[in-house]
Amino acid sequence: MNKRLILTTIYVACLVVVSVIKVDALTTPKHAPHRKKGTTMDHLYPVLFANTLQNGLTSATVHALGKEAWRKRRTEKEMGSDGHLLVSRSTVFVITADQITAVDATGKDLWYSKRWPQSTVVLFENVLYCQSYENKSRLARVSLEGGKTLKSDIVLPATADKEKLLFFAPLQKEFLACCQLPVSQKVQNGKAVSLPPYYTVYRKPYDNWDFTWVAEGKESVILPIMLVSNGKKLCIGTQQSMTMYNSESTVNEPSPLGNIIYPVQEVKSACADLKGNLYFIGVSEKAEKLVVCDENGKVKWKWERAGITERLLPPVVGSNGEAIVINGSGICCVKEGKLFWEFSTGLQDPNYVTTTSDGSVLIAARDVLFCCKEGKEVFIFDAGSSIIAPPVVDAEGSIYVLTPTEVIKVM
Amino acid sequence: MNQTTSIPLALFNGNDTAIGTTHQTCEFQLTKGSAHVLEMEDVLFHHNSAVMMPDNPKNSSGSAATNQQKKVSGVRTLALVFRQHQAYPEQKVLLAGHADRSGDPKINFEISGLRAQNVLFLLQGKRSEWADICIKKHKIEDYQQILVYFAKGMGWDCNPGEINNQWNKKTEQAIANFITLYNYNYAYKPADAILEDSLLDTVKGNGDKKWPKELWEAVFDLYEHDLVLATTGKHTPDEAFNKLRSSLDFVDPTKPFIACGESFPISQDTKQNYRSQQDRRVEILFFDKDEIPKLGCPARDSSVHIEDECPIYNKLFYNFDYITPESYFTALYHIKFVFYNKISKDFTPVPEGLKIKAWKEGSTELDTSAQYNSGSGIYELTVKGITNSPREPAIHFSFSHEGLWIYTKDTTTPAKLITKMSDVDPAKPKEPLTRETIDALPGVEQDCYYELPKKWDSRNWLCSLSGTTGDSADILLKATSASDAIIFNLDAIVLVDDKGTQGISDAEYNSALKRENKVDLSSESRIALLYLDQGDSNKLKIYNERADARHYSSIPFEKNFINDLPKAVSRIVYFNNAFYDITWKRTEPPDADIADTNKKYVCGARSAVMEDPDVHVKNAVCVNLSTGVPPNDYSQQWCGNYELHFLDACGVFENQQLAYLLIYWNCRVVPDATHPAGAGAITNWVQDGMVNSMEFSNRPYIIRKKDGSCNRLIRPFHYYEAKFNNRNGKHKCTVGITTDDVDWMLPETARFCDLSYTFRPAYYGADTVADIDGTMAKPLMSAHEMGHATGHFDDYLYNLEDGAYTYSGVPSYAQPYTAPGGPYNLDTAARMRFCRLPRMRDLWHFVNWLNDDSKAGKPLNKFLNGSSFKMAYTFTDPSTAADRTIEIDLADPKYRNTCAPSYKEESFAGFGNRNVSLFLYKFGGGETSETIVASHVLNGILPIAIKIAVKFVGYNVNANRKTWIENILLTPLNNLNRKFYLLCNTDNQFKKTLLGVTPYFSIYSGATAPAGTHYSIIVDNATPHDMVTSGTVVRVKRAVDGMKIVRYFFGLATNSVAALTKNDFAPVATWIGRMDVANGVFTVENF
Repeated sequence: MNKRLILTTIYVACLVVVSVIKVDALTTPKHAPHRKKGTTMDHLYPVLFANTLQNGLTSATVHALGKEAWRKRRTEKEMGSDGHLLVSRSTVFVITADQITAVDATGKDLWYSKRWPQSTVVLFENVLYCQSYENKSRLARVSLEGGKTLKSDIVLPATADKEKLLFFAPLQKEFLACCQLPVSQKVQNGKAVSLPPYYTVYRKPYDNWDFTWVAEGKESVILPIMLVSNGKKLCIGTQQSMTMYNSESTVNEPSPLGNIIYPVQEVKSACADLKGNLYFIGVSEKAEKLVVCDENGKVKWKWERAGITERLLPPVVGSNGEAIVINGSGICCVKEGKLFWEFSTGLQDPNYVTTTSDGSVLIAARDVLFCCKEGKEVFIFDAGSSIIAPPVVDAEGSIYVLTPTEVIKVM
Repeated sequence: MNQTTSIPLALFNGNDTAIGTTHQTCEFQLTKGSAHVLEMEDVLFHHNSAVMMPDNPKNSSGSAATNQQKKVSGVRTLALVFRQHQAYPEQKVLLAGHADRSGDPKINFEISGLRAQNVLFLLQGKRSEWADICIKKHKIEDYQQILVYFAKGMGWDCNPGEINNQWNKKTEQAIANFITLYNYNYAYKPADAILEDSLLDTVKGNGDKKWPKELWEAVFDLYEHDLVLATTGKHTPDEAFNKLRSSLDFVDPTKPFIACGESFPISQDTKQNYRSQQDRRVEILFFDKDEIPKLGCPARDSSVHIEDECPIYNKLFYNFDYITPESYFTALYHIKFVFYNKISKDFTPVPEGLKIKAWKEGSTELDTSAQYNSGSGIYELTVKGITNSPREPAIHFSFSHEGLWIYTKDTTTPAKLITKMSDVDPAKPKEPLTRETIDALPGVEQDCYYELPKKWDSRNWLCSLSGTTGDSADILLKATSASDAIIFNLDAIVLVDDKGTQGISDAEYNSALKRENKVDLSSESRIALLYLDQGDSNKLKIYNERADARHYSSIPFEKNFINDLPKAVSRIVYFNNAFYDITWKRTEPPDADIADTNKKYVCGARSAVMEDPDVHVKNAVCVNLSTGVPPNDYSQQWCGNYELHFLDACGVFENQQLAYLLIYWNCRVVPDATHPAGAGAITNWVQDGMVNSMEFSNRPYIIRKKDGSCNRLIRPFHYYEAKFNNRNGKHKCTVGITTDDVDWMLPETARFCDLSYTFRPAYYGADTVADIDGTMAKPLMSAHEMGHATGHFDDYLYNLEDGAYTYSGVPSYAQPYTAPGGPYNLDTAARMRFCRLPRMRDLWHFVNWLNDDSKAGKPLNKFLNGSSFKMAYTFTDPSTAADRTIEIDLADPKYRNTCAPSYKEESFAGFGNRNVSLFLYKFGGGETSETIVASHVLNGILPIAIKIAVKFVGYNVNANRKTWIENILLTPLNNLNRKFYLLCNTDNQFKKTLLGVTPYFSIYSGATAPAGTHYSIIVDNATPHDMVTSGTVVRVKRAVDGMKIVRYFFGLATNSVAALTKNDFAPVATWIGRMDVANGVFTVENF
C-alpha cells in the first residue's frame, strides 16, 4: 500500500461531498433546472477528494504527452451523462449509473460491481465504499481485488427515503457521514404543507447501529463538507454560516465547536487545503471573490475579479497552496492575493480541473483535455465528445477521461 | 404440352412463337384491340391549309358546317385530349393527319402531316414549331377566321369582316389592330414577343399576303390561353397543367404522328362514326398500353396506302370508340368509397351496386351514368350537362338506399352488396337485414357485415385525391383518373354534441382562467381517437400518438371531420373534456340543413355522439372538496376527482360482448410557484407523463360477470390527460411541476417533481421486486399519483415527524390517507406502496359502481341488467409457463371498501391487560394475496396495530431517537411479519389469513402520552434496571434489548429475550373465531 496514499486518504477524507450530479452544461439533461449566473454547481469533485485527490490535487505526477493510448467503449447500460472515475495505482474505476467497473491500464475489464444508482463511491484502503445496491440505507464494501462485496449491511443512518448522503469519510473502525433532508412537502387535511430542511452529521462504528456522536442542524448544506485540522474538524457550510464540529468527539450529542461567518457576501463554494486553510469563493456586487481563511475563520488573503462567470466550481488547490479558479474562458492561478498566471481554454468553457503534485493542471473543457504548467500549455487532447468528469491520473502518470460513451487513456 | 396465348392481332408476328419453348405447340388467340378516337373535324381546317381553326368557319372556303358542327371548338377539342389523358393516363397517343382526295396523293401526304403536327405542337405547347407549320401552309381565310374569333371571344377590335380569303382594307385594319391589342394585352411578355407595327407592312408586301412567324406566334399565345382555360378553368398554366402536358405519352415519342394523306377516307360504313363531312381531319388516337400498334407505315408517298399495310386502320386490328366533342360538357369522375373491412382488417372499396346521383347547385340532378371497375373498386361516373367545364364547381354526389349492407365472406372472396342474408346463401333468411339481426349473430360472423349509410351526400366531406386530403368542394374540381380516384372514407367521423348538432365547441371553458369559450379546431386540438385493436383482443388504444402529448392523437382536425383513421374499429373520440361514442350511427341532418352550405352539415359519416346514452354512462366521482369525504366507496378520503365512463358496444372478446370501463382524469400543467421547473420539464410531463402512467396502469384486467344475465366482459382502461397551460377547457386538477423532489396529489391541486414523469430507478434503487406474472416493475411516481387522482389511498405508512424532522421508515400515529392497520404496507410490489405495480384491488371501487348501478332503476341497468361482477387477470405463470387466472371478488358489503377493515377491535385486551388494535381485511384474490409471502395464497390479513409513544430523557438529537426506535422497537416488531398465519379448519373466505404487526409511533415530552396510545416507552438511562414496567408504561435504559419490550406488549415474560412463537398469538386466533367470518376453528401457524 502506498503510504502516502493512505495518509492522504485518511487525513484528507475531507471535502467528500454531495450527490454526483454532472455539471457539464453541454450534456445537461433536458429536465435540469436552469441555473443563474454565479450559482454554485453541484460538487462532483469532493466525491473524489477522499481518494487520491485533495481538493482536486492528485498526489500523482503527470507523465502523459497527450497521446491516446486506448479508448474503450462503455457498455450500453453504462452509457450516459452521469459518472466519474476513480483510480488506484494502475486500476481505473469507472463509476456509472448503478455500476462500478474496474479497468486495468491496458483497458481490460477486471470486474464490475453494483451500487445504489448514482450514490457516492469512496476509495479507502483497497476497499470501495458505496451505498448498497439493494438498500440505500446500508453501506457496502467492495474489495478492489475482484470486486467482491465484502459486506453490504453496514447501517447508514439518515439516508432513508428522501434523505441524501452528502458526505462520507471511511475511517478504520468508524466512518463520518453527513446527510440532508431537503425541503419537502406533505399533504395534511387536504392541504399541502411544507417541511423545512435539516441535516444530520455523525460518526458511527461500522459494526453496530449506535452513533459515536451525532448532531443535527435545521438548514440546508450548500457547500462541500470539509475535514480540516488533520481531520479533527468537520466543517459544514449552510446558508447562514459554516458550523465546525469536533470529528473526534466522545460526547454522543456534541455542541458545535463554533461558527465561521462567511467572509464573502454570497458564498458559492469552498474547499480546504492540507494545512487547514479554507478557501471561499463567492459573489459580491458585480465581482467574484476568493477569500482564504485559517481554520478559525481569520482572513489570510483575498483576491477579487470583476464580473460574474456562468459557472463557479469549487476552487482547486495546487501542490503549493495556489488556488486554481475557473474564470469564464479558462483558469486563473492565485496565491497570496495575487494572480500568478492565467490559462485560456479559448472558446471551450472549463468544466473540471485536476491539479497534480508536479504542478501540472488538467482542465477538461467540453470535448478537450488541456494540460498546462505554470500557465503554459503542455498538450491538448481532443476526446471527441464531452468530458463528463474530472480527469484522473494513475501511478504511472497516465491520464484517464470519461465521456458519455467512452473511457479514454491518455499517455 | 400446349400453350395458349392471347395477343392483340395488331401486335402479332411470327416471332411471338418464341414465348413457347422448342417442340411446344403454341396456340395464339388473336384478338382485336380497342382504341379511342378523337376527331379534329374537317371544319377545323381550311382546304389546302395546315392551320387548326379555333372554331367552325363562317362564309369560308372550308366545309359547310352541319348543325352539329356549328358548336365545335378546336381548342375545346384539344382540351378533350388532356381530359382523356387524365382519365386514362396509361394510354398512349398517336396523331393521324388526313386529307381529302383533291390534289396529288403526295401533296396530301404532306398536308395531312402538317395538320397533324399543327395539332401536335399546340398540344405540346411548342410555340415556335407551331408557327413554322402555319407559315408553311396557311391562307388569308385562316387568319381572317382567327381574327374574327378573337374579335368575338376577347372583344378585340380586330374583326376583318367577311371571311372570304380575300385581302382587303378591313383585313388590313384588323391585323393592325390585332398587333396593337396583342401588345397591349401581352405587355408583360418578353421584349422579343412584342409585335412590331412593321409586320403589317411585311404582310402587305408579299404577294400571297402570308403572315410572318411573329404573328403566328402571337396567335399561338392566344390559343394557348384558351386551351389552358378550357382544360383547367384557369387563365394561366399552372404546375398541374404543365405536368399533365408533359406526361402525354406517345405511341412512338420519336414519331408522335403519322400522315395518312388521302389513304383512309371516311367510308360509307364508318361514316356514322365521324362528324366530318369531308376527309380533311386529324384523328387523335388513344391506345391502351397493352394494345399499342407497331408503327410500320409504308414509306411510300406516291400513292395511297391500303388497309392491309396499315397498322392502324386495318379493320381486323382495332375497334374504335369515338369521343364526341360534346364530351367537353360531360365530366368523368372517378370515385372510390372505402370502409374498414373487419375481415381483411383494412380499408377496402365499397363493391358495385351503389346508385350514385350527381347534383348541381344543390338540387338540380344531372344525368349520371356509372361504371364500376371491380379491379380497382372505382365508380366511374359520367355526368352530363356540365356547364362549367372541365368541372362543375357546385357539383355534389349522393346516394341513398333502404338497407344495403356489404358482406365480406373471407379475405379471398370479393365483398358484395346485399340486402338480405339469402343474397349470399339462399338457405338463409330472406328478410331485409337489420342491425338487430346482425347483432344477434356470433361475434365473428358479425364482422362479415358492414352497414352502409342510408343517406350519403358528398357536401362538406373531406376526401382525398392523389394522397392529398381536402374539402370535397375543392377536390371535386380536380381531374381524376382510372388510377387516381377521389376517395371517400365512409368511416370518417363527425362529432355530434348532446343536442345533435355538428357545430361543436368547448362549452365548458374554464371561467376562472378566463379562457375563451371557443375552440379553434386544429391539429393541436385536445383530441384523441381511441380504437379497438382487433389483432390484440380488441384492446382500446390511442391512434397515432401525438409527439408533443402522447395521450392525444395526431390527426388533422381543422374542421369537425376526422378522415385520418386507424385500420381498426374506431370506438371513441376524446375531445375537450368530453367523450364521443362512435357506433353504428351516421350523421343524418335534415335535408334542409344539408342543403344549407353555411351550416356545413355532413351527411352519412360516422356520428360520434357526445356520451351517447345508447352506449355510454358517465359517473363523475369527486370527494367533497371542503371535507374530503368520498362519495360511496368509489374513492377514499381526500383522494379522487375523476370520471368513470361505461362504454358498451366495444366489439367481442372471448365470444362475449365487450364493454369498457374508462377511468378519466385530466389536469393543467403549470410551473410550480415556488421552485418552478423549466419549460422542458413541463414538456416532458405533457408529452410522456400521462401515457407512461396509463401504460403502467392499463394491465389487461377483465371485469367478469359473477352472476346475473348480462353477457358482457368489461375491460378497465385508464385515460389521463395533461394539457399545457395555454390550452382551453376544464381540468380537474392543476399540477405544479417543481424542481423539488416532491410529489403529492389532492383533488384539485397537485405537485409533481420534474423527474417523476418517467421511471426513476435511482430513486427506488434496484428493480428487485417481481410480481406474480414475473413482471419486474420499475418505479413510476406518476402512476402512483394517478392512483390518488382516481381515488386510492397510499399503501405505505406515513413517517413519524417531530417538528421539522421526518423519521423515515418509522410509522406515525397520523395515517390520514392509509387504510387502518396498514394492511397493504407489506405489498412492496404495489403501485401505491413503492410506485411499482398495479393491483386489481385498486380497481375494485370502480367495480363497486358497476355493481351498484347495475341494479334496477339505475343508469347501468339497461346494459348490465342487475348482474354483479368480479375482476380477473389471466397471465402466463412464470413458474409453470402455463396460463393462469386469478380473480378478486369483494362484492360483499363487508369487503367492498378495500381500505376499510371488515372487522376490527381497536381495544383488544387479549394480550394480558394491555390493549392493541386488531383489523381484518379480506384480500379476495388478486396479486396481493400471493406476493406478500412467496408461494402462499392468502385470503386476508389481520394486522395487530400497536400505538407506541416514546419519551426520551436526555436524548435530544432526532437521529439518535430515530435510530433507537428503529433498532429497539421497530425492527423486532417488523420481524414478526411474514412469520405467522391464521388457519381455519373449514373452507371460508379467511381460511388462510396473514398475521401482521403494524407498530405506530409518537414522540412526546410531557407527562401524558398522546391519545390512543397503547404503550408509553420512557427511554431514560437513569432507569434502575434495563426495563421497569407499570401497566402500559414501560421505562427502559437506552441499551435495553428490544425483545423484552416486545414480549411485554404481547403479555409474555420479560425475563426472556426469546423470539415470539405462534402460540404467543393464540388470543388473535380466538378473536377471529369470535367474528362471524367462518364456521370453524382458527389456529396460528408458522410460514
